[in-house]
Amino acid sequence: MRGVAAIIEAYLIYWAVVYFVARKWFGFNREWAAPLASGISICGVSAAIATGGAIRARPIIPVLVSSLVVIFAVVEVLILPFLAQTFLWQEPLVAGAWIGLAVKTDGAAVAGGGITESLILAKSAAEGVTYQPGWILGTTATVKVFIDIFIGIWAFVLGYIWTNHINVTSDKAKIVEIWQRFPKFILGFVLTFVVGLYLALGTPADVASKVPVAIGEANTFRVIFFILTFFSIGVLSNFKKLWQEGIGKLAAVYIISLFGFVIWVGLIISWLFFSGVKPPLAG
Amino acid sequence: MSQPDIRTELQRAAPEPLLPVEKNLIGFSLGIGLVLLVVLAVVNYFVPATF
Repeated sequence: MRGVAAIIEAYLIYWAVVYFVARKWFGFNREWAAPLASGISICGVSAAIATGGAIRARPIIPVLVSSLVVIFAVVEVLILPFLAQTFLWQEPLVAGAWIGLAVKTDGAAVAGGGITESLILAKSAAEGVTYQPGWILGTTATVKVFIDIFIGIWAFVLGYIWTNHINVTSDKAKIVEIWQRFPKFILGFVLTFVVGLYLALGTPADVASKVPVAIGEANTFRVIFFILTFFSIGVLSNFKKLWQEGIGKLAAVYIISLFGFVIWVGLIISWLFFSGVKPPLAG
Repeated sequence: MSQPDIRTELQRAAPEPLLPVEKNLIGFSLGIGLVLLVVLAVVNYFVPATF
């Protein structure tokens, strides 16, 4: 139910509002507004690319939107976990869900969830409450994964609307046109999800008992790769060049959307569905 | 291959009014989203999920 609430928020509320803001207030055309709305609302880079394909946008558009999403994700990761520690440390899972709903791109969201967990566990421990680790990060990751798995359906919906009502080229659009617009990498998402689900459900108990240890080993690499990812983004980001290419107007939409309603609506929904639910105590 | 001048394009873009299908997409998305959220919130209140 909480995952469904996250899906509804990202696809039906965030997307509609960001698209309206971009089109009506900032005068972006459809080719720009749709990938921008998906990038800000859903899960950043992959959503912008999927939407760009679905509406047949020029490749430069999802690329620029993705650059913007990644830069803002880094800024969010540096700010939001500390706000969560300060104001939400007594509601750890609200904090985890909020990070999942507010930070776009999966890597940044999970990194944000990990930082939030460390900060909140430390503060809770200082107050005499010791929670089991993994629950806040798990909440962030679960919320994000629920949002991600519907990218394909949303791309299909947008492809259908753009084919039949906006870029109408014949009396009736062929199904193959929608299929051609459909981002095929989504099929990899679905296949991975199905294989993962099959393995999770079919794993014998004796093997499953060893999984936490294996995850602990893998986490070392996760942390290293996260650090390298964001280090690389910082090294490669040429803000002057991006500004010259006109990213300022796109950034304005992002800032207004993010601070105007994305983080607030995310906070309200996280509070509605996660308040009062606490991670188990350690020991 | 020359790069498109995005800044100029954004500044000079001709206004594209919202089509009825776009208004419907925005309106129905928001309407359905808000109704479903209220329903889920009510269900969550009366049947709270626990770990």
